[in-house]
Amino acid sequence: MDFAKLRHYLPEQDLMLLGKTPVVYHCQHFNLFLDQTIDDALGPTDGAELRLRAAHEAAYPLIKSVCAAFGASTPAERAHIAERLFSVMGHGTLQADATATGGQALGHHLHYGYAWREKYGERVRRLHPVDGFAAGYAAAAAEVSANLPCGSLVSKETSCIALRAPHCEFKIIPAATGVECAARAPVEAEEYLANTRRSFGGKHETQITEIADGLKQFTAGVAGDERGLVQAFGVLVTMHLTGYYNRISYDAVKEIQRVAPQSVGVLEDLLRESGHVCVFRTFGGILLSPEWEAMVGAPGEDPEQVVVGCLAIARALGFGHWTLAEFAPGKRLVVRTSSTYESADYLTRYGTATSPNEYFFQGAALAIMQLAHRVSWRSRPELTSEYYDELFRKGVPWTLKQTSCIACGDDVSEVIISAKD
Amino acid sequence: MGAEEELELRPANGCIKNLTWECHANLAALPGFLVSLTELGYVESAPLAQLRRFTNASGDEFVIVLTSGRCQVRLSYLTPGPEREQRARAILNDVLTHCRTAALVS
Amino acid sequence: MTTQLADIVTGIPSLRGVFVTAMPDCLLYDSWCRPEEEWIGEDVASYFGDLVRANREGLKSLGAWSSEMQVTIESGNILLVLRELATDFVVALAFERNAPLGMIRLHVKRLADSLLDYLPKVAPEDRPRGVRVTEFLMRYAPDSHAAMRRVALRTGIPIATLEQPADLSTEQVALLETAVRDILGLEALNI
Repeated sequence: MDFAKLRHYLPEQDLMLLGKTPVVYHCQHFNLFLDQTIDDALGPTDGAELRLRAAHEAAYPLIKSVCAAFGASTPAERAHIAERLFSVMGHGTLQADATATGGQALGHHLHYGYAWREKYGERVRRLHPVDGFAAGYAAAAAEVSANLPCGSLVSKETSCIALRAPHCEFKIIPAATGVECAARAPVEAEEYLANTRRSFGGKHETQITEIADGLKQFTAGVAGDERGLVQAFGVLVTMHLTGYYNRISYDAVKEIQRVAPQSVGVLEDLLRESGHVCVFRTFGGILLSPEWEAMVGAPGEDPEQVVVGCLAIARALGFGHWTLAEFAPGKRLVVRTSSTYESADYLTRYGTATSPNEYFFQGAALAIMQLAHRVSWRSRPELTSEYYDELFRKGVPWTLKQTSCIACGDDVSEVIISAKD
Repeated sequence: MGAEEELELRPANGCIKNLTWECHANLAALPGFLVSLTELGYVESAPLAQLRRFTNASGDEFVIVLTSGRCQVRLSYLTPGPEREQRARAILNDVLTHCRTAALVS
Repeated sequence: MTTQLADIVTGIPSLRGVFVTAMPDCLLYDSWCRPEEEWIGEDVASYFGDLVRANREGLKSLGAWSSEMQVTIESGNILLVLRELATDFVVALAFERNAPLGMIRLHVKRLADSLLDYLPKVAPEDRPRGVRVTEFLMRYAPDSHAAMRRVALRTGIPIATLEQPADLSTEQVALLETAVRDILGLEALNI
């Protein structure tokens, strides 16, 4: 099964798909911080429930379409493909043993649980299971395997390595009669394309395109190791479903708007932070890697070249056709795009937004400015949590403004980062 | 003088503590260094531009950027925490010693 | 002040450093280190205070606490002894790892007596609980740069209000405390 053949990008938009399903590459820092923010916003019970439903809803059409692409015709074949797909995408190893009447799944080295334990396990005690994504995926995999409609089964994590269990376990049972179906119609390639705008270039366009193409070629061969994890560039990488990220983010914002409107601002700020930590750690890790040095050259002290590199990385990871509109070292960065994985999903699911809401794009642009100016590349620092905390504990020397947003109906999405007065 | 004493091996950026180490060693200038690594049991992965990557039977990776001499030792995730630095030094030492000896012989 | 502490500890050959932490706020009161040590007192004092406090609570729950208790930690190239001095201070004494334990106990006893004379009798200021809870969070929260925003989201209390923890209402302090407990995964905050 050559899963890499299913990966492709929307031409000129740099949005990535696996078969018909929109996907992106994201690291554990983004994944953990985003999930944590959802739980901070909604509480551990409702937050976990939303994450579970979002995973279930997003994973079902992916597994189904991949099984169809490989011509899987028996339950065993479909279960096998679902299992392999999970590992290839870097989420760990998940073995489900379930039928239409339910069953269980066993997880080893699950991305969320494993990464949480590595990153936070020595510092805090976790009280609730962390693998909502794997739980939702397990239910979807069992449904596809048994040829059931989405929402027929529900799954719950009953044992989790983040809670110091030796491995993760999930119980899968039939959904109660009358329970709301977990899935809405999937957002797929057609909807994705319909919600992009006419593509355009920016400064250093040729260089950005060349680097992005090289990176796309390199990442085509990236897949989970024997654990089902992708350990590269100093982070744990996953190929992940944009439908998952967008549903948990935007549903949480909608809910907080309803029940605690005074907290919307801080929620949005934390959603931006998940993008910021992602770009700082992942893009930074890529720039520091020998692979980058060999393909592009080691980053020097020219901030503009760091920005150029970051925009190429963003395209290769499937974030959209990010372009450099303006750059004044130390003063101003303007990033503009005809596509983001956030707006494409938002417009399909929620309609036109009333205010700019591409939180990942916003946080990412800010982090690009940080990488360009606040990292001494020649000294090759280790981008640890301590380094990150130290750098950002006292805030940042920039302000951020999203001046236009495709989700609001604009022709482009644009974020401006300016030096504070 | 042992090879590890000549080179400054330092932890490199990585997601798991002390699994990745790096130093500079102009191995590419040594004749036959690719053969030497093969003799040590390393298997080469597909080259990437000026980057060469080799993996040994334990799952440790040795990576070198030919143009700069930057080397990375990426230890197998199974390497226990307290043994990581020593293991990285041992790998580097083995590689350097073997490559240098092979270069002298040739 | 530093000179006085140096006078007290002079002549103890195996002693590498002394850190005096003022309780209950776990703030560094005074410290002394050998010139070659690169320790920063402010970085460690609060952890020693918390450690002794947790130890005290643990022993109390076992019915085994006494005011004379001390914690000995043997780690790497250091032997560390932590001890409460009255209720106002915690002293941490870092010795060379190979120093004989019997001698260390003797030195600790003598130093504790000398330090009791040297340290002031403090009437601890009753600092607002909101301040202490916030400081505790910032000391232990992962991703500390985002910790206050997480509390704001969990409690619904605006960031600007949380930034003035001395002015929080009783109800707000209770919300803050619950959020901090949940973020740190603790059943109770021993502060």
